[in-house]
Amino acid sequence: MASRGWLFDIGKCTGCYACEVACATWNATGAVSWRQIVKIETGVYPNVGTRNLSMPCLHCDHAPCLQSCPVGAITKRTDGVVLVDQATCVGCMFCFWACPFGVPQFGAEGKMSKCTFCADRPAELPRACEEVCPTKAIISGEMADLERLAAKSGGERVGGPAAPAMFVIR
Amino acid sequence: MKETAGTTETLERLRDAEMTPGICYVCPWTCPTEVFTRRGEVVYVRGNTRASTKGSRCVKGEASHVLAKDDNRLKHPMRRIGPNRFERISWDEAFTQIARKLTDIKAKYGPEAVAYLWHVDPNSVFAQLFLTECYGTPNYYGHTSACEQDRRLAALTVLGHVFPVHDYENAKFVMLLGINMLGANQNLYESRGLLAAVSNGARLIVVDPAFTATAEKANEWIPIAPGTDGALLFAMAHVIVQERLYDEPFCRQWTHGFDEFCRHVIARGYTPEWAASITGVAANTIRRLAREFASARPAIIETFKGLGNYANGLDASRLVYILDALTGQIDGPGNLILKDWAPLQPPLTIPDERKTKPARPPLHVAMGYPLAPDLPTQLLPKAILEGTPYPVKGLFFQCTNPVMSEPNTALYRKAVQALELSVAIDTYFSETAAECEFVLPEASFYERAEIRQSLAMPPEAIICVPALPPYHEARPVYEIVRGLAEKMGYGDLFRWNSWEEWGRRIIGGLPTDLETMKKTGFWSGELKYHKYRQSGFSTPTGKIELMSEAFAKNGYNALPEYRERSVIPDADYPFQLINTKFEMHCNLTTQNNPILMKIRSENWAELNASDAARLGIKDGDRIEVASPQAAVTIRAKVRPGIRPGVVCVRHGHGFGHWQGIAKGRGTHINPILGTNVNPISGGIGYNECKVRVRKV
Repeated sequence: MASRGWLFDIGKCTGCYACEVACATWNATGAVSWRQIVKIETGVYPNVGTRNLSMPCLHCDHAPCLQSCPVGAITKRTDGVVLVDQATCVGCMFCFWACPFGVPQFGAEGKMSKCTFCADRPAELPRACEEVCPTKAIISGEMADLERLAAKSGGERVGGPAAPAMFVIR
Repeated sequence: MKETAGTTETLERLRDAEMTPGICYVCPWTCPTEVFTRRGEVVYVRGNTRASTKGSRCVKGEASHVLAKDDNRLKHPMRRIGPNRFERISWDEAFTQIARKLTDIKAKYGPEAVAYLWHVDPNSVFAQLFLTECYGTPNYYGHTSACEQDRRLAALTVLGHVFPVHDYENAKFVMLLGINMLGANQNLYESRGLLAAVSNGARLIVVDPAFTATAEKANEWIPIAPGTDGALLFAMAHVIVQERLYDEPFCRQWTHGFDEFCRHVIARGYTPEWAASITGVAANTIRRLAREFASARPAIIETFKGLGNYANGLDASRLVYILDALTGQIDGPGNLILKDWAPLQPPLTIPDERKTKPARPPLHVAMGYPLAPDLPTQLLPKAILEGTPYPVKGLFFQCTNPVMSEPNTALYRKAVQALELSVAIDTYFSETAAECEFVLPEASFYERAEIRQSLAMPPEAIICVPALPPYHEARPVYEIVRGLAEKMGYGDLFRWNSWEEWGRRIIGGLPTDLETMKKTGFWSGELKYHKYRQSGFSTPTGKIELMSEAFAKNGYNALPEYRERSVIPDADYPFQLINTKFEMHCNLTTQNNPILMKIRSENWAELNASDAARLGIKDGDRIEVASPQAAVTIRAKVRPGIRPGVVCVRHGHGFGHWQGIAKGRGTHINPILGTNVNPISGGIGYNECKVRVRKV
């Protein structure tokens, strides 16, 4: 089965938070957010720029969270999606320290939860974040397709030893 | 991009839910939505995937499902028995007492003494029919004077169309002045298209004193001096005229006043050099932008509210549409689109023999604003307190909160208190409702039905099907009006067994049926370009009016002119105030939503980093912002992305009356704003304000 991931177009993201809230609603995440929105304004007037980022779980090829979990609560599906089994999770937070991106979230019950790539949705449907994005900055799909799409706009895969399943267009 | 249409059934199955099409009313763009409910609970929402917004939804809409259960919503009709004291009454009591007052006011002062104001207008057509045709007042108005009054009048005057929309996706050059459609004024019909154009190499120029969310995506940000955009636009026109960059065949065939306009800009000397000293934009930049715009095909120049926030905004807004016209960039692919409306019909008709004709002209005409596209609301207190131009004794406020949103807060509060009849129809207990005699709970957009126009490019009608049962005693406006009509002898005309009865009448002229629309959420017609080739323009001359016959007839300048704004900073008040909203809050309706308040709980005033450093202000400090009118304390946001000498306040917070999480959060800044009304359009000059700033 082909591995799936994200294509994120920084140029299209306006940091509007719609993705975070759509995710929270579809997945009934309660008080935690499975997408983290970052807005950074840089420069000195009048040469100003902004980077907006909306960070889900990157469902890495070599997921550090999975490798670090002492109780085997985190697994990776054949389509690449990394999932945590909350019944097995003991809330030790090793995964939080292992993840280079700060993805694992801990709610009131102390168990880890995070973006599931809308695991319950069939592959041909958009993810909840993807379908509401007003500028269509988020695209999910098979890694080979995303690589082709990213290359068209000079995008590339996010680097690092974890090998995140995410391409970025600047 | 994944195909989203046809995915509804899968999502329904996954959540054991049922989808009903809806319309979002958190902001006035009224995007079509899909609401997924399971046993009376909203489990998911997204944009309508098949209608023009293609599934898109903004954060406000996504978070809005909390409205459905918000304990702080209005639940029962109430009547005021003292300051901050209300008693619960029944609907029957409310209708009886309001009807009695309406009858008394009509007998004493005439029906024109009653006015109906809406901000967002779900189903207010029922109120319009009842009040203007049965009761006999001509005073049915919206909120436009606090919004895009100047732009609206400019578009009407120049192009004969009240609300151009935009084919951004196909444009090669887009210049936006005083409009932040990716941020504060999120337009989901157009945001995807704008960024698709930029991805495809289109040039995007954003002119704004602040580095807005739209400016972030632009190829060029022009940090213009506030309130001087008219000078920039006139200078661009000067270049286009002098260098003959206009589309002459188009202008000769389709515009009125072409020669006069060309002579006028040259004679006035509206050169780039002249504009440079006013705007702070270099003359050769202005020249380059004019040439770029004129040679790029297709192209769009557009504005919304920003220019109209100043006293000189009307003519500046006219220039926006005049420039689009000079280069023939009208109603074609990649242009602004003069959309056709869906052929919807009224939900019911009042027979002639049951109508009451008003004896007095509408308020805006009597006030001396015959061309105002909506009531100059800043002049309403005078009508209430002094009876000028004629007495206003009764007001309905449907989902509108002028005690918070108008300048001169103290005066507005006093005026509402002086009314003989005041009725608030709302989902929340607003500041205005707190001053009203009757407060009626309105059903939210999760619990009511509606059919209306959408703001997509083709003619499109969208439908809202009630997704949830009624919330306590809250009722939709059509039921509220029905109750009033019944008490006043018009009940037989406002009769239906289900909303579907009038729903079918509304869509009677569409080639579809209600059952289909209840499933899909919309009907869409064909997008036609260049419609003017068949039907001309809806102006007095049938052409685009570079020179306005309507203005001339009313004693105004037929040709647009540049004038300075009214309030200029000085030694005592060295900063120009400008204002905008947050992306995640809208007007005054979202500040009790815990999701949105978690993202952004408090408003702030933005200051340039070098101004802040000079004043010893750091990001997050409390500062005092003082105008000659008043002073407020607010949080400072220090950033590089704002022109020095400018303070930008994000408005919409600072509530006293609300229970829940909105109470006391943030700062209400309107007390520092004075009254400033455009003499032709009646629009409010919110940015006509000079301030000084100090750390507290």
